Parts: sequence; C-alpha cells; structure tokens
Amino acid sequence: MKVAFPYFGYDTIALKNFLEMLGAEVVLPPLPTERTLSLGTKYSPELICLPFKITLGNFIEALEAGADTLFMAAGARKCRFGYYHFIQETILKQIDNNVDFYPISQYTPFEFIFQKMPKIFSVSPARVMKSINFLLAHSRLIENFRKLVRQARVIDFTLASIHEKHALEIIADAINLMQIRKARKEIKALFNFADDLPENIIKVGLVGEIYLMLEPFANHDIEKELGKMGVLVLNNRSLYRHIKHLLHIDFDRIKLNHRAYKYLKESPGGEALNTVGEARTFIKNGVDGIIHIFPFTCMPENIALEALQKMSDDYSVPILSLSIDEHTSKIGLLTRLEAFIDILKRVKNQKAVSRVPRSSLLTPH
Amino acid sequence: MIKIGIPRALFYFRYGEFWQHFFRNLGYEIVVSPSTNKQILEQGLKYVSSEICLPVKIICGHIEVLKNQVDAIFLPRFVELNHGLYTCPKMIGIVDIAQIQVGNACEILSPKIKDNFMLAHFQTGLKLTGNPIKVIKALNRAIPYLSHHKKLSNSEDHKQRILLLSHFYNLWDDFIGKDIINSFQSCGFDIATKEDLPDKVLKSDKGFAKNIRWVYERELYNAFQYYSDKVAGICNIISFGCGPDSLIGEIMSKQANEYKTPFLQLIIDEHTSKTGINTRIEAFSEIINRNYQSKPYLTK
Amino acid sequence: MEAYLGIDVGSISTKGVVLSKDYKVIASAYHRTQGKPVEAIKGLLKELQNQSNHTKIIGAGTTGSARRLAGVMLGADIVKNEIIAHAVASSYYYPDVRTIIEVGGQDSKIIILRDGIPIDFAMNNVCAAGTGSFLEHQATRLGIPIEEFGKYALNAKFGVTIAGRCTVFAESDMVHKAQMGITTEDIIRGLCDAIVRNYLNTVAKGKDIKPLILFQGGVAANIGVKTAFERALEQQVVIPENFLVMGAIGAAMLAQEYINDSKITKFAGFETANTKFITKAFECKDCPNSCEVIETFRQDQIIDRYGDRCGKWSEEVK
Repeated sequence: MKVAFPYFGYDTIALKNFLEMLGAEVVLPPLPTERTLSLGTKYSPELICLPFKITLGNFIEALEAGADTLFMAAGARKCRFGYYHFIQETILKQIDNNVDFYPISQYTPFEFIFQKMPKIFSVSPARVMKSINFLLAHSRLIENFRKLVRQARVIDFTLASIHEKHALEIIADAINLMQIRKARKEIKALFNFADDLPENIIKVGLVGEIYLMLEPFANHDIEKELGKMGVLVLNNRSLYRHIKHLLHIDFDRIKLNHRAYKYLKESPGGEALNTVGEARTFIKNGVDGIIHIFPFTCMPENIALEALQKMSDDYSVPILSLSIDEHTSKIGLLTRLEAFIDILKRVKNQKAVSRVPRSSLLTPH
Repeated sequence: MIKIGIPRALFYFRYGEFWQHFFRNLGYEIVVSPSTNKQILEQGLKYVSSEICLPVKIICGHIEVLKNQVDAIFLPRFVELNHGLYTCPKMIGIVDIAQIQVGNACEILSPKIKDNFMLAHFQTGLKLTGNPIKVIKALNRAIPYLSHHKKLSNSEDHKQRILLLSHFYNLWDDFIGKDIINSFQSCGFDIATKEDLPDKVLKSDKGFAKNIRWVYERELYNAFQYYSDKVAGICNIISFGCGPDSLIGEIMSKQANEYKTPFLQLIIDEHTSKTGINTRIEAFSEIINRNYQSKPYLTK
Repeated sequence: MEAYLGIDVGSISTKGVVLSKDYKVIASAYHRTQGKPVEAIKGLLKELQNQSNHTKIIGAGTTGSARRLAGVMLGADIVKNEIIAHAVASSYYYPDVRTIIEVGGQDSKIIILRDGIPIDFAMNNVCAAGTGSFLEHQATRLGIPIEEFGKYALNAKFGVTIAGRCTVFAESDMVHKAQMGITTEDIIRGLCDAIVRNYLNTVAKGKDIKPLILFQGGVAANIGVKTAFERALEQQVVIPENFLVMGAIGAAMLAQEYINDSKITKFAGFETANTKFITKAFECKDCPNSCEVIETFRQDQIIDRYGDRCGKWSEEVK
C-alpha cells in the first residue's frame, strides 16, 4: 500500500510523519507546479474553486509516482470542500481504476480513531491516538517555525531562506516527542538573529481560506513575497489549530467567533467566522493592513469579504482582497501587493489615519 | 401602522404568499418590492462583490428599493431545513450583508430558521404583537398558502417535454427565468420543473442524494433522477458563482451523458445577453428535434 | 442555373456563398463586418452577384449572430443559428465527423456529432481570451501580419505560459513576458497554447472529443493554433477546404432543405444591395428594464423591431 495525499504547505511533513507512524508507506507527489495545476484544471468542473484543481493535480501526479491509496479530507457541510471527494474519486477512478480512495470525514474524530484508521492500517485505536498526539506536537513545532521564519525574513531575507531549509530538515527528522523538543530549541537558536524586530516595521495580518493561506503554491508564496518587501506577516491559521478545532479543544475559536459576531451572526460555513474574528483581533493588536486571500467564487469568504469591508470602514484599516484562481498571474498579484504595501507605508508615515474608499478595493478580476 | 417590506427575491418565490398572508393577518401593511428589473439589479451590483451569484446581487437591489420606504424588512435567515440540511453559505450570510447595507435606514427582521420554520415565525409574530393567540390564528390561516407552487407543465399536451432544472429563485424571477421559459415554449416544448413533483420525491434520500447536504441541491438532484428518462432534454440553469451548482451540476451532466439524455447547461450572470441564451436554446431544441426524428426512443 | 444563397453574419466578419443544387460552391465572399452589418451584407451581395452570373436564387438562408437582421433584409427563407448550420455543412462534406471545433471572431464553440447528427454543443460563456479578435489585436500590437502569425508559433523553441482569464490580463502577462526577454516566437506559441488550453478547459470541458475532428472558423487559418490543438489533443485535426464559409454553406443547405423543390423563395434578390436600409436603436423608457429596442427600416418603412423584453414593440411590426 503506497499512500499519498495532497500537499498542505509546510504541514505536509507533519501529515506524512503521522501516516508513517501508522505504518503506511507514503509516496509524496512532486511539489505542485504549473503542470499540477493544468492537469487538475483539465479534469475539473469548470466553475469549481481552486483548491479542488490543485489537489486533484496532486493526486494525478501521485498516481504517476506510484501511489495506489489516496487520502482526502471530507465532511459534507455548507462549503464545497466537503464534497470534493465525490467528484475527485470519480475522476481518479477513470484515470486509474485500481486506486483506493479514502475520504476522511473531518467532523467525526471518534469514527476516525476507533474505526476508520484501525481498519485501513490494521492498528489499534491506542496507536491512532498516540499518532494524533504526535501529529499535534509536530504541527505545533511547524507553527512555531513558521512564526520564527516570518520574523527572520524581515531582518535578513537571504539568511532566513538558508536557515529555513536547514530548519525543514530538522523538522522532517524529528520522529518522536523527545526529538521534537530538541528540534524546537535548535530552530529557535537558528532564528535568534531575528528576536528583536525594529519598531517601525509594517505589519500585515493574513486572513482567508485555510488552504490558500497555508499552501505556498496556491497563494503564489505570498508570505515570502511580503517578507522580501520587509513586511511582517501575521498568520494565525495552521494545521495545529485546525486539528485542535476538529478535536474540539481549540478554545481560541470561542473568542474568535465572539469577535466575529459583530459582523456575522451565524456561521456561513467554511472559515468565514475565523477570517472575520482573526481580522478583528489583528486590528485590535495593531496591524497596518489586512490581506484577505481566498479562492475565486469561494462562498463563505465572499460573505466574509462584505464583513471585512465594513470592518475596514469602521476601524480605518486598509484591506486588500485577493481572490485567486488558475488564471491569476503572479505578476499581477505582485503589483497589487506592492501597491498595497506602498499605501500602508504612506499611511504609517503620515500617521494620519485615512479611510480607504470601497472603490479602491483591489481585486484581481 | 408598521410597514413591513418583503423583497421579491430568493425565498419569496417559495414562501412569499405565506408571508404576505401571515403579516396581513397580523394586521401589518406589507410592501413587496416590484419584479426584478435592470434598475434593481444595478442597485444590487453596487453593494456586493462581483463574484457573488446573481440571485444575491438581485436581492441586494430589492433591499435597496425597500430600505427607505418601510420600517422593517423581513428576511429570515434560513440555516437548516428538512432535518439538518443546509441552505448555502450565501443564503445564511445574506442577512449580515443586508444588515451592513441598510445600516440604520430600517430594521431587519430575521428569525433564524434551523428546522423550526413555524416556531421561528411564531416568535417573530409574538415579538411584533405580543399576542400569542393572534399569532397562532394568523399562522393557521396562512398555512394553506405554503403549498402554492407555480407550475408550467401541462401533462395533457402531447408535446415534447423539457425539464428546466434550476433553483426556484432563478426560475421564477422574471428577470432570469422568464426569457428562458419563453424561449423554450416558443420552440414548442412543454416545460417540466421540480415544482411539479411531490415533496416525497424531492426530499428522498435514496442513492447519491443522501450525500448531498444542501437542501435545494438535493431537490434538484432528485428531480433530475426522476425526470431523466421521462423528458426529451434537460436544461440546467446555473448562476455563475453558485458553489453548490458548480458541483452538483457537474455530477448531473455526467450522469445525463450516461443516460444519453440531452443536457444543456446555461450559465447566467448579470452580463448574460438574451441573444446568447436564445442561440443556445434554439440550437439545443434543434438537436433534440433532429435526434427525435431519427431516434424515436426519446418519446416517452 | 438554379442555386441557393447562404449568408453568415458574425460579429467580426460576414461570409456568403452561392451553392448549386449538388452542393458545389459557385461563389463565395468574405467581408469585414466592422460594426456595420448592413453595409457588410450589401457589399457581400454585390460580390456574390458578380461571381455568379446567370444563376437564379431559389432559396436563401441566414445564420450567425446577426442572422435575424440579415434574414429580414434579404427575405431569407430560413434563419438558423450557427451551430446547426456548421453541423449540417460539415457532416455533408465529412460524413465521419464527430467533433467540430469552431473558433470565430468573438466566440468559440464545440459541436459533437454522432452518425451525422449533432447531439451536443457548447459555446464560450465568459470571455475566453481565445478568439480571433484577440489574436488579431495581439498581431497588430506585435507588428506581425495576421497571416504570418501562425508561422511564428511554429518557429518557437519552447512555449511560455500566458496566464489570464480575460484579454486584458492575458495581454499584461504577455507584455511582461516580453519585457523579461522572451522571444516573440515563444510568446506567440505560448499564446496559441493558452487559447487552446482555455478552449479545452472551458468550452470543450467534459465533451467527448473523438475523431474525425474538424477545425473551422476564422482562427483555423492560423497554423499555430492548429498545431497547438493537435499537441493538446494528441490527434490529427482537419481543416476543411471552405473552413471560413462553412456556416454560410450550412445556411444555404438548410434553405434547400426547407424549400424542398416545392416552396417559392421569399428572397428579395441581389438588388437588395442597392436598397436603403437603416437600423436605429432607442431605449424604451416605459419600465425600469429600459430595453434597447433595435429597429430596421427599408426605404423608410419599418420592417423589423426586436430587443424588448415584454414584446410590445416587436409584436407591433408583425
């Protein structure tokens, strides 16, 4: 059994190690490229959102790399994401009839621990729980690393990139809790040159749909690009938090939902409440601007967009909305980012709080 | 007297008559916005992101029309229906968008409906009047209007039948559906819609339908399954940016291919031209007719 | 000699043929529409008349986006949409055809046929940055004659990826690629690939593309796009001899089918070219829909009106 799953940013390592702990042989497809996207687009429904296309491309490339068992997160609710697997399975079965496709429902942790995983990998529920515990520790390490590298990029982008590679090796090699503890210290030491950030730095809060926020290929490496411009990116979304949420132990969510309540009285599904709650938290903690990134025609995020727009007016904080699909050109995206950062700098220098009228909302379409 | 506004959009096309009777029975003046027209749509376009689907843009236009002439706009928040099935993110979020849009111009009455349609309406009535008996009476007298559905099909006719597969808020909105219905009728077809089917068929959870947790998508899918061997062709009207349709529409079009039922997907948005729609419908009906002449198995 | 007339009025070009009873093209002509369909149709008629002496038109059909206007002007016997016209003509010349790719001036379509009968079709919904007018615009911008455009693509060493949902974004991406120092040949090949990719991912999505594949419409003249299609489909793509006027041929065939040797044509004659036609548009203010109503006058007499949602203007003329 050769197992594969779609890329999920830096957290791919954590998911890979998790499956390996359960005894699976993991075949990672090649890193997503233009080819991945065009393969995915070729087989996808025309009007579907971007994550479908990239993950489908990952699956096709995984099959080419020799995988025979595919895992996909599922759980049909309000958002389209939970339905991806129905169509992806049909498409993939057409390409390779012998493939085993396992949709993993996100919202049934007990079934996951006691039935699904034990059945697929013939392991005990205790081992699954142990692996989940490790997954939590590992993804927490990655969350921590991402925070450090974001700060480091602002101070010295080249040095940060070199250390980033090194840190990723350390993370990949950590395969038990002891090593994770050790890895945390080593990574902290690697990035200690960025412990003190200059006062006048531009801070931007990144919010939006989780896949677009975490997968660098999907978001055109937005965090790196902003880091190159000397901007500190704040991104509170991570696999660690997501898993905690699915296990119902993410207590920060309550606070976020409470903060979002002023604008959204009911969850429209997906990550919309998170987006609005996080944006409000960022603004309260003093960021210069908010970048809202989501797949083109994403339903929940388009509702969040309206709320963010109102928030931008209420608190006089500029917001840049980026809706991304397979037609988005990186150059166009960079132009918008640069322009947005320039605006933030001017606002900051003048110390005058200016209102950003709705018409200046920069969307790529 | 308090004036209550009801936008003639989205859920109006299913519950409109019920609402009007309910509030009239309670003794309120009802203002229903006029049928959608270009002007209303254009007002709506100003308020929401261009990626959002056409029906939501339209309802924002209706809210704009109403907000300055009524005291409150009645816009329930439909979250769950039919035992835990969801509407869709935009249906849930439209109330928040509307709240931002109207600001202080008027109030928005939005009972949250989570599988408690009657209770939610009762609570709204109680909040307005404070008289439970009056509210129950008003509800009782309005209930018969819940089952009033528009129908086009005339089964006595022996014309060929086309299934128009779309959400009620697309099909019955004059601005979106009328031209399409007219085009098909002038091509000589009898038109079937999902409104012709009894609830039992629409709400069925047999087969793939049980996986669909969007209440209206499940209805569309069930109607599709029911009609797929009973009609000469199926026309699926999707508004650009409709998330659920982008998935279920794809599944249906694949299955129609397997069943060999002619299937036309019309994707509409505010830029859609009448000519473009007509060209497609004409070609589609021509294809059905040419098939019909050479392959008589399509007559059922 | 008796013959049939077929006219295809598209947004960019107007095409016409005179077709003999045994489906031979006696005369064919091509004109730019240039936003003036009436003038284009008149010019076309003159040219067709010059080419086809001693023929008597016993049936006329129109197709294309301005088929209605052309039909009213000419007194056409049949007005049919371009999908059926293309299908009819193609399946006569190529009985085995199962896929028709048609890329015209402003729209593109796919028609799927089985046993000579059209069973499925699709047209571009959103601006696909992949139609003739876009190619032409880019050719002008790069200073290359449109006829040579395709050859440049063949000389490319590799293709670059051009991103963009619509023409404006695709163009800005191209400009940037050129600024990065990529050769014109490579950019043109990238453009041809982008057009094909967009076509296959939107218009032809989910369609069962089987041989024989015909490629027609104005863009079929571009060898670069043809090879890009062959590369993407990994199959041979055939360009019919009359690829430009297939729609018009289909219209003429449909006219013959309709006349069927028994009906008498309503065709107003080639003299129509000398008749004065005026088209006017006004915005009806009777309701908030503010429809734009288009009127056509022949010698100051109104012959057609359309464009109103409610039908009160158009019915008045009938």
